[in-house]
Amino acid sequence: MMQSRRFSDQETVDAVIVGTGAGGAPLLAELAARGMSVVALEAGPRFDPRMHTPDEATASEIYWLEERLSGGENPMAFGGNNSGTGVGGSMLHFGAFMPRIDPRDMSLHTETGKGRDWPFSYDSLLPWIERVEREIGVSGPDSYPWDPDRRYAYPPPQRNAAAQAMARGCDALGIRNADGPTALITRDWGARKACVGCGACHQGCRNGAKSSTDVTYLPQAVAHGAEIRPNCFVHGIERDHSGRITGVIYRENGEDRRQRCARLILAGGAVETARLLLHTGLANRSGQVGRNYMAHISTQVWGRFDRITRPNKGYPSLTITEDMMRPDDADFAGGYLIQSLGMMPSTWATGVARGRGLWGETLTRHLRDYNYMAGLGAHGDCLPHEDNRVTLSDEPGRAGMPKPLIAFSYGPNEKAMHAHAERTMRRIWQAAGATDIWSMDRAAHMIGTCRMGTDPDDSVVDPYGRSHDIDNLWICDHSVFPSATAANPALAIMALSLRTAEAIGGR
Amino acid sequence: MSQTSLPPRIAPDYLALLDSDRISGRTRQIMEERAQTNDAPYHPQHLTRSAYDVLVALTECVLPQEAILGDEAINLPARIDTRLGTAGDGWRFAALPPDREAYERALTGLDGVSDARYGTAFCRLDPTDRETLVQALAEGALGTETLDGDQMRAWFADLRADCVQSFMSHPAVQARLGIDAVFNGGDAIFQGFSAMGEGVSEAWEPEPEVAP
Ligand SMILES: Cc1cc2nc3c(=O)[nH]c(=O)nc-3n(C[C@H](O)[C@H](O)[C@H](O)COP(=O)(O)OP(=O)(O)OC[C@H]3O[C@@H](n4cnc5c(N)ncnc54)[C@H](O)[C@@H]3O)c2cc1C
Ligand code: SF4
Repeated sequence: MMQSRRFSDQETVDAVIVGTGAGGAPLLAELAARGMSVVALEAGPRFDPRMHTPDEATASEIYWLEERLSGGENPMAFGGNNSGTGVGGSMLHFGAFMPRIDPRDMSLHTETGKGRDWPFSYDSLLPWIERVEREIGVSGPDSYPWDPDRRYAYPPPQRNAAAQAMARGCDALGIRNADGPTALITRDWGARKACVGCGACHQGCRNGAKSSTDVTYLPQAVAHGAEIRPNCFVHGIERDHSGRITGVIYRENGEDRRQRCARLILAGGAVETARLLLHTGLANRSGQVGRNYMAHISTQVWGRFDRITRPNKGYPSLTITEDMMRPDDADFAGGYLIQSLGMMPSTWATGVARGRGLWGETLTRHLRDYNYMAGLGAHGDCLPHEDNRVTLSDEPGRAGMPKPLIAFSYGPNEKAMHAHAERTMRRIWQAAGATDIWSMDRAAHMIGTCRMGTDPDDSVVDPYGRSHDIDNLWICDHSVFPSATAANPALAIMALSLRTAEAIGGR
Repeated sequence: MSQTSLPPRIAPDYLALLDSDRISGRTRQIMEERAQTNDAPYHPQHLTRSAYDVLVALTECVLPQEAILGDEAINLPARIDTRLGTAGDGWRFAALPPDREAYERALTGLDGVSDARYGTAFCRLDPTDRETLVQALAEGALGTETLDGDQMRAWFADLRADCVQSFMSHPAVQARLGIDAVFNGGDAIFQGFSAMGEGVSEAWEPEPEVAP
């Protein structure tokens, strides 16, 4: 279905897009629909969804496995924890949790004096958000407690044990909760089938139920004449004497090739986009490329239940509460969401071994109880900080490009939020009847590094994603976020992508 | 730990599920290959013999297998040594050298500390002294000639992760614990799971063999 033509390397296409994830795919489809000749160069392979496997070790084929160096006081795990590859990007293995941004998070600085405001309001983003939801298929409850007017096209999938336990615990404490918005369909839609609760969202959806770009925007893009070229790693950018971009150099099957283009759109994700710009030395007059790297405060709390839970079953993370978006007793700026967590065995065991730090007989005995576990996970806002950043290491990586070094440390706000989230989730699990409750400090998602803004001296791109320095260079992925916001990011990234496409097409 | 050359046994009911239409052909093949890997005796391909001997003793201490596999065992050090020859998992602590080198240095260093403190190699230490050293390792209180306490602690977290990943992904372990993650749907029919929730099992789902 997704076979596309191949443009010749000599041809100057209207646009080259680097990456086919949440940022790259919607824009690819939109530009193609507007009649532009577009090529997406994707470092990863093309997968046949039917061949995805729930075996976690093998499913690592959909992770970005080129080594990154992780530093700072809170070094982040990448690979399976944070970053995907292939036609579809990280959305091949993303968790499909699809809340909308809380409007207050986009003006956190105005509200608290901390963080950074977005250069436009939530109201101007909302139409794009609604359009993405409509175009990809999102399920959710009839009435969403924190925004009763909102409507979802599909009813929620079935609740698994963790979702039931969280609802019970929250009810006991008077915390509002609901089935969360999820990027999956619960009725067949064309060639896509309804979710069957297989539980392997993070290992790749085999029936097209999960609304990832590989079954939504990318087939649309191809239908409109776009080309997707897999296994092509971009590592060079070429310019003319005036500094405008004329093409990119990419490595395919061990060989370097050139694709000429009238404009270049980077959508490799917050680490790879910054790495490519630092490597080529472009678009960095502000000195901001790579800075303000952020990650969600994704604290987890786990507990053991008396009744069997079978954590691998069902859509993993259905129940949500947004009641902690501005808790009364907060000693931090911003807020966090909580979702229920099921989890596949090896991922969970890795959390036990790394995060809880168990070893010896206690480790084995804990692993034995896998089928009785359930978890809760937070996603909290994170303040931008100059020194949390992506730089180039001195070790050569793929195609000779230096491996990226990511330094990430929690500041006081992140520490306070983590502690608050841990307390809240422990209370919910106690109320739900869990025993042997433990928590794990964790950060997720790669955000920032090429922030957007109106001032060319302290931002990398303008509010539409266009480079302040090079007028035919655009960035369209998680790196442009000026602040993290608490919401899981894919929805806003896709919404911004459509918005950027309109800005490009309109010029 | 007993080290027979036979892979751990899998009960007939679970084998029948591995043969059923609830698992895809690709996943069945992955599980079968993993179940049949016969990795004892094993000659290290990526670590030196002396470092590998320390790894054998250390993995017994980090993840003793009896409580789940009884008198059978998966050769974890062999699987870790094999893993050290692959591309890795996408990241490493910036404070540590590349995985293979970190393992070699950490294991050799641990042996050195054992020798200095107790006058004998780590693999010949009695269990109490071994535990004492591992506890220090976990707390960041065990520095070696080439890696300081913090680096050793970070490496020890990597080791724990490597151990549980090899262990939990083994079909024999999943069978003993009644885990049915790989039976989430076949090729012809993609069943998923129909009944779910607290205390709910479908009739076909495997029961744990070891009591929780
Ligand atoms: C395990 C996991 C669970 C998640 N769960 C959720 C969730 O439940 N809800 C949610 O909203 N978000 C979730 N996310 C986050 C979400 O998937 C990402 O934020 C989003 O996909 C990022 O979009 P992006 O366009 O910035 O990058 P990506 O989607 O990562 O796409 C980047 C693409 O660019 C390619 N690329 C990179 N560099 C190059 C290069 N030099 N040349 C060619 N190609 C290149 C990569 O191979 C990749 O395919 C999850 C992420 C992970 C990893
Ligand atoms: S749980 Fe549903 S959406 Fe997730 S992978 Fe399985 S079928 Fe797809």
